[in-house]
Amino acid sequence: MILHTINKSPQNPALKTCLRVAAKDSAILLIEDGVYAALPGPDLEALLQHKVYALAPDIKARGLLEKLSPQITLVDYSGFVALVEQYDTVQSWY
Amino acid sequence: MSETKSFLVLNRHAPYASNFAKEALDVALMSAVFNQKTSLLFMDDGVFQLVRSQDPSEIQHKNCSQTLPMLEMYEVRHIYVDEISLNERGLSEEDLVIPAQRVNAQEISQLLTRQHVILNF
Amino acid sequence: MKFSLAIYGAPCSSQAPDTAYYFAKAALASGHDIYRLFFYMDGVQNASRLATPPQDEQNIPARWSELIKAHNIDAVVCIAAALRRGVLDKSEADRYEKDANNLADGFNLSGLGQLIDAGIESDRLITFGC
Repeated sequence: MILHTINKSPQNPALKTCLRVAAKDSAILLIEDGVYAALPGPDLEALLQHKVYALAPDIKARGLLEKLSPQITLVDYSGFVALVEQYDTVQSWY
Repeated sequence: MSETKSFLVLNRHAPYASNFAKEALDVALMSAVFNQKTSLLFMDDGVFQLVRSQDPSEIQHKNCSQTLPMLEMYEVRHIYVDEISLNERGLSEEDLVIPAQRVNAQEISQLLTRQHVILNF
Repeated sequence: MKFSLAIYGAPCSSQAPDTAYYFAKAALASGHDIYRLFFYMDGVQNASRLATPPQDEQNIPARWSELIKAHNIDAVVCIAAALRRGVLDKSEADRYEKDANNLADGFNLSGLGQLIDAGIESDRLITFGC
């Protein structure tokens, strides 16, 4: 099983391409500008077909704490480490 | 070398505007030198790396596409290209400088799942 | 677990150096080992000792040097990528007759094979792209 990380905003092809090829059992972790995908947008529904995490410090830095979808789980850096441990491979979309 | 792993070099950036293409290819060749099971996948703007008739002589840049045939010399035979990325950019197999296997989203999904290591460029 | 980190982003133009740094610290704090940090492409700028940010900003190369020394981490900067971008240790500066060198403490220049080796020897290789 794969952990996908996305560090670009949804305007970048990274998110769409990731959603197109990510297996159902893979998780997606939003980091850096990738956290903007946690806001309501055209790709949110497709994103939420997966288990989705967002890096809390990046969400907080960008003022999105109150705005993010409740189905997205916040993790800190040790949560990021635990996800990497839990999944077999990391695929970084950037 | 303790073991053989499967390495996928995933290319998503167009050539020349950045060094991604050149430095990714170096990684793919190095993986082959280390006798690892090496594959390449071209997606998004990365498919532009495969376009034939590239001539960067006037921007004084090395021709990335001329290095691609070296993959075969290093016995890297698993070269894949995302068919949707090709279609979205109006490209077809005849436009490509080396033969690459067209793969759909499901095949890419399986390809990713088979890897021990994915190297993203 | 044994983790290796591949870092491709430069300070100032990318958040990758920050994310990678905090990931590395959290991994060590969780009892994992860092097999190698591998700096490639513009990520080689993480190893420039000459970076001199204002005092109220992070000095990213200095911060790496401290972490690398405190935990005895293998920190490799791709030599080809580094030479292209003007990151040199003393022996490369001498070899190419440059008037300065700038590789920060704790980092080593080595070949791209070290990235593949990290992929082979680590349980996980994580790319921090820009």
